[in-house]
Amino acid sequence: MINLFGYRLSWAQLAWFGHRASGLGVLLFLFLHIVETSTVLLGPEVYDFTQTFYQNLPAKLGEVLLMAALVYHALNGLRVIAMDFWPSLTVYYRPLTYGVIAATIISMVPLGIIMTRGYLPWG
Amino acid sequence: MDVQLRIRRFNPEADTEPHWEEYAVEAEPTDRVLDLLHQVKWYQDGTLTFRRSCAHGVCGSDAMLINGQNRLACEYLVKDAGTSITVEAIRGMTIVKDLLVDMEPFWDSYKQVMPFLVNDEIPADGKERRQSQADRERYEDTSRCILCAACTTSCPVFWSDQSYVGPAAIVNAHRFIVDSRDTAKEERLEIMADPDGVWRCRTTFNCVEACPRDIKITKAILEVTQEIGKAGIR
Repeated sequence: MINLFGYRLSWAQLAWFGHRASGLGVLLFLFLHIVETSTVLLGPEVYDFTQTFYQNLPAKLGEVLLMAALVYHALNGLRVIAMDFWPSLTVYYRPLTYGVIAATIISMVPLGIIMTRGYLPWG
Repeated sequence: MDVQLRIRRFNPEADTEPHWEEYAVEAEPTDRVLDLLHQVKWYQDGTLTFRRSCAHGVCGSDAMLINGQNRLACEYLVKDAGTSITVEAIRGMTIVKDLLVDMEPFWDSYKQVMPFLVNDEIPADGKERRQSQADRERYEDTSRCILCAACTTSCPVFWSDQSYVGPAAIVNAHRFIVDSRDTAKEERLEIMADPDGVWRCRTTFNCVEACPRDIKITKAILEVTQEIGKAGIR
């Protein structure tokens, strides 16, 4: 049993926590992206140099994580919106939550392979 | 069977912070956690303080944080709780002593939603206000609330800010908002549309999992938000 703030962590609560964490993570990347893109104002050499920061495996894995955050945040957001429009759906909150988590994992398998193919043995 | 009972205790006259104390108690698998608390209070330490009244899941006075989740001590059996059990006071409330909390803020939120039928009109037949079975069905679920506060004190939003009206008050507002005989719907919806009202729900479903009456609380909360939308309240 996992506790968060001393209270048993349910999948629905984890989904909410994940929604916040993924949203903040994506926002953080947005700021990073603005800074990185704005280096173009300092000339093409500086911009090209900043782009080299992304050309390595840890940065690529970070991008995969970013994609996972985006996919999860979008799917979970749709779940929350659907419940807002049709409150009767809340009765199925457990399968819906499991569905969002499963769909995120399943989507990330091909996406992860495509994004990291340059680093894979057959890439 | 032997059960290790850990209770988070607090005596305002002697302690500055709550602390854990352990008790070894003998129990049957079909005993309730409330029976264990009785054993401690009656035979080991008479200073243990907790609230309970009917002890049969009706009055809702013994909601506690047991094994990390809000439950009624009188409904939770040892066979389900295991041989190592932790008991704490419900969250977000001021602890008066041990497992006893000050429920006044909870009652204030409850009173705020006017939990009573408002209708000063004379019934059509002069005797009673009739409604269809379908209209009665609309508040069947939310009329079963026993005001134990297990839902409100399981809510992370309430933990962080006690000005949030909380799931229990919303459930009781819903019970009258969808009642076809009531005439104060607009007034209740105005209260629910307050920044500390229904919009603060983050659909974590802790309330639904904690409710000892299995009330579909989040469904009721979202139905109230829809009623606010339909009434055009901003």
